[in-house]
Amino acid sequence: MPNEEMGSRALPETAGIDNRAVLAIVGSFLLFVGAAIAGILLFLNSEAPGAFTPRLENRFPSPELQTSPEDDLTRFEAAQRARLTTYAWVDRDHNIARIPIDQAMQLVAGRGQHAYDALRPAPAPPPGASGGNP
Amino acid sequence: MTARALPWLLLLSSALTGCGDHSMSQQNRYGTFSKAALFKDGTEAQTLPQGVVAQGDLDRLQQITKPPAVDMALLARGRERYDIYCSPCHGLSGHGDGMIVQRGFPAPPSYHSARLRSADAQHFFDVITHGYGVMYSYAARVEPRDRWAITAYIRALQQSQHADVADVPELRSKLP
Repeated sequence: MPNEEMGSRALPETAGIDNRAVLAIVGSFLLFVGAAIAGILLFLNSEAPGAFTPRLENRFPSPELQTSPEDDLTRFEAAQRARLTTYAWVDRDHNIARIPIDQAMQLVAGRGQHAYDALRPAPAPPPGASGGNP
Repeated sequence: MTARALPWLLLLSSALTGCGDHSMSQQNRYGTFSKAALFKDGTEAQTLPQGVVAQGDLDRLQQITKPPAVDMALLARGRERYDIYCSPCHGLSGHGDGMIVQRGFPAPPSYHSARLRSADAQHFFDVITHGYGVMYSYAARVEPRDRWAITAYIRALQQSQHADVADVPELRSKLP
């Protein structure tokens, strides 16, 4: 009897679930997923043909960073100093010109007590003006 | 007897001088805003007596109200101060296009506009002192005499960038 009991226990347990049913369910799921993907691709291909191509025209412009602030400032100041060292016409019709700053400083220093005075006289008040707020 | 007691006296005096708090946390003075019986109003916070001014205030006031005479030395000083404090926004030539403006700061008005060419010198001095618009006060950075020097240099800038050909000798021959 003990040998018979040992022999029967050595056999593997019988499957409780039918393997064919599992394979059918998994296969059906994969078929459904594949069909859904194919359907979406067909829909997008017909309705939005450009959905899968990158849109290069929507790229943002690159930020205007200063890669060399020292060089930028040097070039900028050189351009500005050129206005202070050269002769040039500003308004030829009205005989207005640009002169070097050193010459302008000598002109201002030569005015003496009137060095602080405005170069252009203040406009006269319109006739009838009261001359200030009430 | 005296010779024998002397070391003991020295030891005793040394020990006594070590007593007490030497951390200076307790001082013989009034605390801030504390009661003070010494004064008539009974408070430690006393206002300055009438007529008392800080050292240098009278000289500074005189510099504010009395502009210095303009000569080449003052203009050179004004040019140096202008390049340091003003040119980052106003530009070296006063067109209101300094490097700070190039990087997005609001542009100040040009000194060569008709309005500022007709403005009196006090206007420029007051703007440096009190600020104007987005420009803050430079009173703490620029001394009153230097403010007048900068004002005089602004006049030189206006003369430089807007010169009447008839007022400058031999200018027409130098123009292109």
